[in-house]
Amino acid sequence: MPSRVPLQVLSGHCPIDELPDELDLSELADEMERLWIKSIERLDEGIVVEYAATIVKRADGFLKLINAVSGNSTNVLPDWATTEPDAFIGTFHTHPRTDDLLPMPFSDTDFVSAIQLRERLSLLYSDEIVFALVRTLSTSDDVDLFEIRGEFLSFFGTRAELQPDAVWEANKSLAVRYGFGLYMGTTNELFREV
Amino acid sequence: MDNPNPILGLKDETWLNALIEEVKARRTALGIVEKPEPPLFVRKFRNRLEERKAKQLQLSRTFLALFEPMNSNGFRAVCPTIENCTVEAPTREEAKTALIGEIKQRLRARLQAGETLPTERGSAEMVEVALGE
Repeated sequence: MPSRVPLQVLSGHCPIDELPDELDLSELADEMERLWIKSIERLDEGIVVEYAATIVKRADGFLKLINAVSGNSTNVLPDWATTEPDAFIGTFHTHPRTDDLLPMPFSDTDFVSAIQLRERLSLLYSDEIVFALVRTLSTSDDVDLFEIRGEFLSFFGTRAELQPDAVWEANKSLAVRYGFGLYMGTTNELFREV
Repeated sequence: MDNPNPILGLKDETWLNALIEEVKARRTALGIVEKPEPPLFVRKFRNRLEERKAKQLQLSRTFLALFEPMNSNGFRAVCPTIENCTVEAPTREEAKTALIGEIKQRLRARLQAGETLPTERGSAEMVEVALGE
């Protein structure tokens, strides 16, 4: 049985109006949950660790996370080296927070790396919620970091802290602007939002 | 002149707010940290998920399925509730999958035609018939 994610989605060339309404990422569920638990296993001590990994499509057609690495939100970088016959699809990372453990959607730099790395699928796991960016025919080929940051920050007004709802509104706006499909949900039931 | 013994109005919730604050303070002192309410977008997603599950449940039906091995190998599966609903497949499992597909297709057609869907609420039972008596 091939991946539950349609081939057209994984191609990175799906017309935006042909994206499916839902995605099933259950084949990656165990691995995503394992890395999330590792992210928060020292939460009692006030320590969280961000994990990242590379999503590949294996020869058998299934998706898999490889090359898991850890760090903090400013230095964790996926190791996107892949070897044949694995094919690079995109990246996965976690967003743990020490203060409230609320789900936190994509950051402005996540959008930048999804565009610059030509990720077909970019996944984020935060407090049992999975967020997904899907590259389409309309996705930008390049991006100006300062422009994207300016637009991202415009959603926060004068509030110093990043509020999840404001980040989510910024995600929807950036997904429309840069031509991504944006999904949110659990590992096996993600609904398309944009 | 103010009433020296004011009656506490039903809408006066100062006592309740004070109590909530006191409980919060005690819990904090005990090291109990409450998780804040999920963001609005997560609450909306969870509501959507619940609605979908409720809808799926509403759309599910139970039917009796009968299986019999065929002389020419393979299995025949029949749903007696639906007229002429019979499928054949090499294995019992495949016959079951094919029967579910057939029932689904037939029910969808009836639903689109505005008909009421049949359902099976009873349960099957094997009864022994003694012919010698």
